[in-house]
Amino acid sequence: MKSRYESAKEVFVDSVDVDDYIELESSLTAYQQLEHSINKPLKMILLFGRPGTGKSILLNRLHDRLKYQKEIYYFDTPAINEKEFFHKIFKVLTKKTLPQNTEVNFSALVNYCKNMRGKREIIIMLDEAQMYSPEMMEKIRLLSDSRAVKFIVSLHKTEDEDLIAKEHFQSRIWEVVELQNASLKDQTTYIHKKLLKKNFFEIANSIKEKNFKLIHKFTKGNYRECNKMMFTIFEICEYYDKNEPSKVRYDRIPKRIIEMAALKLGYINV
Amino acid sequence: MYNIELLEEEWKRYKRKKRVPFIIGIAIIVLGIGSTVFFLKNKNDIFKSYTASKGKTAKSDIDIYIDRGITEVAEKHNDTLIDAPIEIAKVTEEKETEVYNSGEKKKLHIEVIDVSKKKSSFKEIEKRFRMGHDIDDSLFLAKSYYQRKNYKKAEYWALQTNKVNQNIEESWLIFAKAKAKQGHRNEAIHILTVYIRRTHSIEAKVLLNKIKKGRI
Repeated sequence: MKSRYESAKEVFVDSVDVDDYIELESSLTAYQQLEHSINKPLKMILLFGRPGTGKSILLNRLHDRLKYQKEIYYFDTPAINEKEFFHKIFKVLTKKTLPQNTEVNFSALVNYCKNMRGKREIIIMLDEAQMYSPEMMEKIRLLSDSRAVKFIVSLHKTEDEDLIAKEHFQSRIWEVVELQNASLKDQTTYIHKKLLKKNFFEIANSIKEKNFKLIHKFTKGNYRECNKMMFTIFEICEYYDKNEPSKVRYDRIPKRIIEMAALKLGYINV
Repeated sequence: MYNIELLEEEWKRYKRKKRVPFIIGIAIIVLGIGSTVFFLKNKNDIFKSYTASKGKTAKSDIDIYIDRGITEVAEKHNDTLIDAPIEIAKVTEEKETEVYNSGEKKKLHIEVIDVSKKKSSFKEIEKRFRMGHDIDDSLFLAKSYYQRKNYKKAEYWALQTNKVNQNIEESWLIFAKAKAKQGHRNEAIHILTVYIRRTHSIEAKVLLNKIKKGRI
């Protein structure tokens, strides 16, 4: 027989699927800010935040919502080289595919964009932009200077590189939207909504306030870490449910299981 | 699926590790309390043996309890203290040693209060004080005699209290009040002034004021 936890854990498989998007107070603010920025005559917008703060899913949602109203494109993975990147840009701008062995003339591309000014407005969202080289970023900036192409650059950096990244882009960027880790309240809502969306009412109710506090303490409010944590918790519950039912209670999640999940994920060490 | 058994073991180790600071804390507290009790007990034993040996060499006097507080002031300024039954205040060497070695104090206030109106009960308490030098007894006698307007005796028992412990404010105040009641206002004022200089007691200042204004 399938354990109830088996399906519940699937809810927390990390994805950027817009169907999995959970509307939270903080993410709604970021979304509105981003949408508002798009409507401004800005050339580049920076979406900034630590890994797992929901940048990709936010871009996905924006793309999903605006795709029928605007010419909006989402580049989820960075191009492996400059040639490939400009091939993609060329395709977006001209709606034509270049042959493999050809290269895009960058000056001609910029001129093409300048000619488009006032006729078309294209929005290109670049996810994981920290992987683009500074030279490529310079070229992206030149393209955006044409005012026909607007770029939303999403990037994250590690702890030490945060400031460098911000400073590097700040002179080129007109608007910065920063995403933060979730507060306890937001994370609680996030977990609840995720479970309720898939009709796991009982399981949602079995997670008590102190459990949420502990989960928040371990994951520091990071959505990706939260997904990992919840997945692991339900996986342990699933094991007990199937093999040692006396060790799991349906009305609450024991603290022991949360701590075991934290040990498993390396949040705590022996 | 993970190796749950291994994970459980790891969790048990984690819990044990988490408890360590708590156990250490408890151990430190217990040790602290234990050593304090041990220290205090030892201190008491030293004190007892000291008083016992002093009792042996003191040749039947209770001089070790005499302080230089009220006594000095009283000796300098009042001869009426000579009337106090000094011979009663003395205890034999044998009795004193016995009392302190036994390490027991008899505090039977309930009994005292019950029979406080009887003269014989005062005698009993006086006798008990001479045996044990319990300031609760002497202070009780001072207060009782003062209430019964036997100011001379009140003064005497306040003095006895002060001899054992010169930091009992109540005995100072009764002593001064008793003095004042007996008409020795200047002495009372002097005693209180000396006491106030030493302790800055507000109660004593209030009393001094009353005596100066002639309300007592």
